[in-house]
Amino acid sequence: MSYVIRDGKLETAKPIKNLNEDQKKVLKVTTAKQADKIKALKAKLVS
Amino acid sequence: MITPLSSETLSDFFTSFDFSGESEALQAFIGLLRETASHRQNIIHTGYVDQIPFGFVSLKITNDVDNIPGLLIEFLYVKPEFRQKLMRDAPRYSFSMLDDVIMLAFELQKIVAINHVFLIPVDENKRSMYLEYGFENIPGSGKNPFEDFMVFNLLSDTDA
Repeated sequence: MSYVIRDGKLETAKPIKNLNEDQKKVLKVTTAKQADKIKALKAKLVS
Repeated sequence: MITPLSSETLSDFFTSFDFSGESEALQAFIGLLRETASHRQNIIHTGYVDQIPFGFVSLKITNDVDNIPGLLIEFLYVKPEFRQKLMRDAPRYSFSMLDDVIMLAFELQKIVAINHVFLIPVDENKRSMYLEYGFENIPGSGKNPFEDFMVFNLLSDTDA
């Protein structure tokens, strides 16, 4: 369960079901920024 | 590197923080995270600089995004006096903690199949910070655009 502050109150955020194609794409495609970060952090882990 | 807190050390840890300047809702949220952490429903990881705690991040495993397993950043907090300051070669304390969370996720990937780190910014002002780090909005995934989930994908092309 996730939480958000909505209108000054703590509320629970609803889980999402049945992702549409645009939403699935965000989860499938690793951006260049993410790839660079992954590369840098994996290098940091082995150093 | 962030350090996980045991439930026994939660009280001592939180006494080093003063949340009185934060909103009532944020204080309620932190109180809830502290309570759930005491029941091992989430783990609070602390960030230190020179043995002084500068913030914490609450982590748990989630399947809130279409039953896809991932590591959930429930909340990331940096003390006001440490916000927007430089720390060694990292640009921000918050980014430094996010680096540690991602590296923790790499370790988790060795034993469980998770390929995503998810979060919902607790308030909309923080969304730009996560975008700057590399998280992406999952459009239309929240009750309103201000509550959309964000994701950091852990698989690079070389992993596929």
